[in-house]
Amino acid sequence: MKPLEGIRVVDFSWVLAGPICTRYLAFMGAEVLKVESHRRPDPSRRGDGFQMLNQNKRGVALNLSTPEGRALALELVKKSDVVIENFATGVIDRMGLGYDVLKAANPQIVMVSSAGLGHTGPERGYAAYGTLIQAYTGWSAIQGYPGRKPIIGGAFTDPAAGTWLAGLIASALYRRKQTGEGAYLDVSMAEVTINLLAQPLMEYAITGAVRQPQGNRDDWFAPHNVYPCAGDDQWMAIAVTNDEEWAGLCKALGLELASDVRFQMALGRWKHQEELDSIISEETRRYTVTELFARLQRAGIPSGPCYDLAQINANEHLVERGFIHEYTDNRGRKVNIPSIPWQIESLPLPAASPAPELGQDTEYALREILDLTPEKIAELQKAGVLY
Amino acid sequence: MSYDFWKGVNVIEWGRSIATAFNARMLADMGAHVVKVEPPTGDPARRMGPFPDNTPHPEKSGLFLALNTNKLGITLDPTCETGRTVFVELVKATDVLIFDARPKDLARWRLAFGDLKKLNGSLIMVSITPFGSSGPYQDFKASDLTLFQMSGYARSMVRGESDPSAKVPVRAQGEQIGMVGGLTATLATSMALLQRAATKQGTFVDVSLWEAMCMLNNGGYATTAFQQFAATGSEEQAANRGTVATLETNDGYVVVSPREDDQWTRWIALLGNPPWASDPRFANRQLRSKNWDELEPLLVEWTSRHSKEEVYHLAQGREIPSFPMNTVADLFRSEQLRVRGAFTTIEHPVAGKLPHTTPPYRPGGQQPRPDEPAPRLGEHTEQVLAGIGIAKEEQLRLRALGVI
Repeated sequence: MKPLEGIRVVDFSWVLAGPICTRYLAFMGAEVLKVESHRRPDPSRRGDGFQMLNQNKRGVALNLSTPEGRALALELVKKSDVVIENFATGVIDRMGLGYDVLKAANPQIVMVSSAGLGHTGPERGYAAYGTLIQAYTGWSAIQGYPGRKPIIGGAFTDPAAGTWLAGLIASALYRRKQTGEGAYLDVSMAEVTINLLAQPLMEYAITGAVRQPQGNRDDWFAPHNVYPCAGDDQWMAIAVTNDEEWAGLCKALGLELASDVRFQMALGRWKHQEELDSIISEETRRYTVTELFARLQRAGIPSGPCYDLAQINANEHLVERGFIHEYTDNRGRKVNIPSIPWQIESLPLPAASPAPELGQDTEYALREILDLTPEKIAELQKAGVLY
Repeated sequence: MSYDFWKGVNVIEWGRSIATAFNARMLADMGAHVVKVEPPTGDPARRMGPFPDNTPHPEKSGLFLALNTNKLGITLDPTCETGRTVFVELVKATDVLIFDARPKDLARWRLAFGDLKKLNGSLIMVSITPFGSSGPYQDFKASDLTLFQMSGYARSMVRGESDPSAKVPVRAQGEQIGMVGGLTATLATSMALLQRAATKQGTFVDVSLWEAMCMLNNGGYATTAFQQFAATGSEEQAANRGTVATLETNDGYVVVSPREDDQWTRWIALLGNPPWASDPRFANRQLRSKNWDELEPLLVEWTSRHSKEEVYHLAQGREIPSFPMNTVADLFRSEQLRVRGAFTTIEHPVAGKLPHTTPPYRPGGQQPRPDEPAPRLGEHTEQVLAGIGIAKEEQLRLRALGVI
């Protein structure tokens, strides 16, 4: 039995954090109704990323700019367990679908509202994209290389927030089982990322030091970097944190440095890391990434290739574990892409059904969930409500 | 601040990693009763710092204090026979066991899921390891750096500017493997608990830190697979230059993203509609990206006369997505975060008062409970062991043996 069997989710969210959350819920057995309209399609439909972000969901077209569309949405909420939205702060209330309205219609509803900076505070209405929010949180300022512009760092906040949202919804559903109470949850994406900065925040609070970018290096240990391998743009990460690993690395690379006084103990290696990095780079260039990875792991050295996404999609370990699985989209295209990042022994890894076309399940939702007649549905269609 | 989502759920955290500690802290913040099992020598995070005056002290590590609020702490070595006996009693009375030992070690200690489920049929065991509990890499050695580099995200980080030496893939700082792994494990643990509520059966949950971090590339896998093309950070950046621009101000950087035409028009108006604004080289998003090298200094000419906070509020006042590139120090000065209550002060008996982050959600209607500081080494051993019926004399014997 899947953890969320029998749970229905009305999903007003779009782009990244919300859809990542509801994808996880869908993989865990929830029926996710992804509400969009041709007036307001999920912008991520523009690319193939949509195929990953929206698997196992149903597509429902409802024009929420019409009173009838909003009324139908409210009817769906009455028959559902969870509502998630990530409109700009205040928008859902103006649409007449705020928590007070939903709670009056369905007292047990679990509603999650996610916004860039949350739903309170003077900056709550500010325009936010996940990528920019991580600049605000202090995450970006510690990324990159010393003495250069910091790196904003891709879309990190959105998937982290999506994961947090899904866990929070599961927790609220568990509480509802025990107490019978629904929930309203105001989530700040910025605070999600701030919560992932425990170490640099505490460092500042305790020592007053503001952490700076440091590339791939470490505060205490060396060698600790990525090293070039044979070919173009091929890299091996190596992290040595004790004398035993250092001796092992020297042996694996044929370096006669294990007794070199410069590189004795962690401090010696750290002080001479520039020299060390150039010596090691000379050796790593002789190997392909695959050869070197096997050699270093045989010697017990923490190491790993700098993979790209295509290499991850094809990785033998990940395929064997089922993390990478086959997915077929609506057009019959087959690819290998990730499933979900956890496995529950009593639950076979769920298959991924295709991301929905916009509105492909509108009729299902109206007929099966709301019990509307075909005539009524046709009428709503004609009136532009199911657009 | 802690809430009551997981009230009545008992969790044992037995691990040495940031991920196990962060997973258990999130559950504790949500109301679970968490007992942290440390070896008699203490959790490794107690030795990791940051420390006041850079002087190590087992009760003053900032990382340890941040990761372990709202937990009880005991010392116990479950890997020796006597310790195992005690540990097993604890496991019998728990709902969830979070751990990070490798499969072969667990089997050696007779603490594998197969051993423990015989004693507690509704036990949920959550394994958090670098590569998971199966597959050819399961015994491979890893670290924060190596897992981040393997995750694909290092190449996805938008890489530095035009300097070719900056093209080396870079990891994110701040122990992100442990944090993201812990976050993912919390979601997995929650799902297993929901499943158990229906089936009444325990289960084994397998979380791989590598997979957790891989997942942060999300939709990128589909784009890569369908296009049979792995875009690197620098290629993406070349195609999107200026979409998210990091611009110098008089006190750091500000990030602005006037990506849509209407946003661009408002942005240019904010800059006082300078003459170059009508230059055909900057007429649309594609051209602005193409001619970014010429455009950027023109923008910086204006932003560098303001502070990052000024540009932020001015731009946002015109609905232009913009944020200051804050440092961790700036966060403590933010009015938004202060009003939100994003930080709280927790007093620890040895380390004193320190700011901690609060959870990023505000549950309407729930009254939060005040936070408890991270446990001192072995602080709750006596209490927890008494709770499972181990009398004082037996505790003294265990202490003499160095088991607790």
